[in-house]
Amino acid sequence: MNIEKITSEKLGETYYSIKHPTGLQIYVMPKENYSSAYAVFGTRYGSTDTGFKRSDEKDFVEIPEGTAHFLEHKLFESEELDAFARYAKTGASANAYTSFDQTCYLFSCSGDFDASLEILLDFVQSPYFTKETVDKEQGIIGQEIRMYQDEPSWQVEFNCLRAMYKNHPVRIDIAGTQESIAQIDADMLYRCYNTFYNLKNMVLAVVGNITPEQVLKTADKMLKKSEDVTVEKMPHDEPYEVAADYIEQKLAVSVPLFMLGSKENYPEMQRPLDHRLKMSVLLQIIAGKTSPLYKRLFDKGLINSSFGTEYFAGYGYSASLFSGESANPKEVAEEIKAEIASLKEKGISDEDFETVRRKMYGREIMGFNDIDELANGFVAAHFLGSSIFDTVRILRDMKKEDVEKVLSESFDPSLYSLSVILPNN
Amino acid sequence: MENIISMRQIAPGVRLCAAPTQRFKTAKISVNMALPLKKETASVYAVLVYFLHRSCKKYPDMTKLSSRLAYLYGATISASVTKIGEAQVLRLSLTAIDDRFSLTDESITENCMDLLLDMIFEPNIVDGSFLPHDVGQEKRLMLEKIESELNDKRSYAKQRCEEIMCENEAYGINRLGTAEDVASITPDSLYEAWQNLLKKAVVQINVVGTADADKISAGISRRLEGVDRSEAVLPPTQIVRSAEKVREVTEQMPINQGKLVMGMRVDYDPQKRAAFSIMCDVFGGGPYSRLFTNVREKMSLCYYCSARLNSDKGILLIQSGIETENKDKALSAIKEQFEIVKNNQFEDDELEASKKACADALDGFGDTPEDYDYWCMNQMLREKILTPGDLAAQIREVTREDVVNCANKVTLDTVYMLEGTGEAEE
Repeated sequence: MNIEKITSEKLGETYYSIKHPTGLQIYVMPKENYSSAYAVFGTRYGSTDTGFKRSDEKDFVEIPEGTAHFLEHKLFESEELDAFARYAKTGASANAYTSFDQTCYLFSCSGDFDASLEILLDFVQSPYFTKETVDKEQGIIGQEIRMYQDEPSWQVEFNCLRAMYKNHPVRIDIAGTQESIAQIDADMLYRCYNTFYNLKNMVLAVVGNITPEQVLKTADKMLKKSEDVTVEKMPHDEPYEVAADYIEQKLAVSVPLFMLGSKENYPEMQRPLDHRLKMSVLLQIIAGKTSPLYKRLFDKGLINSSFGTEYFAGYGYSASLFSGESANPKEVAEEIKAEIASLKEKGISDEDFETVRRKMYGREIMGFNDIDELANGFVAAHFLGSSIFDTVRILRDMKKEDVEKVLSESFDPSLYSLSVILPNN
Repeated sequence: MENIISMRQIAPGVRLCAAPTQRFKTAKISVNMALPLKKETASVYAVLVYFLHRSCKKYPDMTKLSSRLAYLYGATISASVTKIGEAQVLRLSLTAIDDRFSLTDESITENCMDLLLDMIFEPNIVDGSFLPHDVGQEKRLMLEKIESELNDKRSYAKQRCEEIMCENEAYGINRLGTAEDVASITPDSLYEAWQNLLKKAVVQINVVGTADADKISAGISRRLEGVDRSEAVLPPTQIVRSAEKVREVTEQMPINQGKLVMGMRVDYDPQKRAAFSIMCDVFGGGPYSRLFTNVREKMSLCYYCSARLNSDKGILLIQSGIETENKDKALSAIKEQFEIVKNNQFEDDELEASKKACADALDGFGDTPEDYDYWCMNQMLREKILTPGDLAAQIREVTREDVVNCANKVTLDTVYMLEGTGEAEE
């Protein structure tokens, strides 16, 4: 077995990267003086994987929207005790989540770690789907979908994605729709399970009061060798242009909400970490709390503390997002666009760059307190082909010119989409 | 482990609660200031804490202050308002990375602490009052904050239920006050509220991590010199020990999913904290609870259905998101599950699962500075602060009889339903 010990002197942290003989990549980070541990077992399979081809099959298959999330709910069940009932014996607190490109199962505990890890590795490797259990879940997930339909912050984001993306499945809700989940059956869940829940497509990360030996002992006992199959994602025929430059919806809100998206087009499917960080620094320079734009919008009464930015990227999509509440979303959008155009002309000041870089460096260090953030960080970094120590290093070495370069390449004025939620009375 | 909380009195009504530990990379310091929750003052105090955190004499505008915090490696000082029992708690909370990560020689923590104290004690006063422009800005932000409480339907419904149930108690007052009261705030009235805050608030400072509690303590003592603190006392919270009859209130909104909230009165005994919390958890806490396993998993009625105890006020709230037409079905299912707890008909496994999960979570509680800070803040009105480990030990001793006894001290007071009229359009 290949075990590599990786240390960051500056951060005072060490982790172990282990390539398990079954093909599973494992990360273990022991944390001194912590009294609990957090484990996450994830697969590179999310809501955007609506079409795929196995390496041992000829054709692509398409599956209903919301299948990855549905599968996440159903994996907790088994022929005997479901996973929650098993965790009830160890006291661990368990959960799971599905995002655009991954599904993760997790638990945290302070006692009985080995038994809880055994449950995690066992239930995720033991699918059990029947017609009855699938039918029962339609009601629960149906209510989850209905709940999100009433959440303006969720709706403003998905509407923005629908406006930017014409075909890419990032435009669809993670849980799907009531109509799409009605098409899901047990056979389909098995098919997706057998394709994506292959240990070679998965990762295990554990952080806290544990040792690598302890994790490996349970891993050796529980992990089953996977088939030698790989999976190819179906390419999406996404045009360069946005689908719409404006979208609005009426909901029970009192102040309008908005999200302005700026779509990017790159030939590679994934934006590397380095690019993501430069864009995040850039977004803070453009519209962070220390920026002149923020002050101007604030003083004009156009934004409040809910205003923020995000660099949003995954497999086959990337965009810059600006969101908040405003009595006049269109004016805010115009101000942001004008600020970006002017920054492209003038360039970035040394002081602004340094302020934002220092801030992001500090925030990254803060993240090393939390075992849950770290474990999930290992999963995200693994799927991106990077290490969790990379962010601090990249921020330390970043130059203003690097950020000016991405500024000159981004924000095509024809690729903005504005999404607005208006009060319905 | 090193989970020890030590407490010291700094001034009348001001105490410091220190949880020193080396395991974090940050210092966390919060200043929690409690005042009686009153209709006349709720708005002005709520505006005050946000106003104070936005500037100070040394950094008189928001951008300058934000730049200073960014320069101090992204330190954050956030403001918030919460209710503990019938006290309105104004809170400023600082997080800064430890000095060992500084890229220069200057101390991050000390600079941040000075900034935090400047916000409270050295606001930007011009000609004996606050600047109308700054006050106006803060009023606008608070009005928008109050308006946007409607956006989160789950917490909106919970808040409505509490307001209706406690309409004749101080607890029924919104922690942010009302839009009308915000509108009537003037620079002078805000200034007066600030002076009252310094004199009358009951204060607890929490220090989690490596920050030097002695220095903080000395800094606060120095700044409080000459402030008359003789009036810093809080009235006790009114606890209604049982409901006489059930009140049903239904409201409508053009939303998809209806929200059901049930408010119960609890004849709470602070000596039995562990028993009451396990009773609530067996009923509607984790995924092993009666509500999760029955109302969600067996009946597929909802995505969430849970119960939560507010021990400072002696109320228990049950929340669920359901189809409006399923209201009666959900209501009777929830009542039925509570009867099972009350009538001693739950399984041993359920009790054990609850005790194990709650004690396990408490044992790991000190692993984030935020959790530890909240833990201490939530007990700021109690004489003695329990550590998470103390409560975990008590939880392990809870018996079936304890749970049944506690459940028999709970009566249903209010059923609030926010009906979806399904008019939400695409």
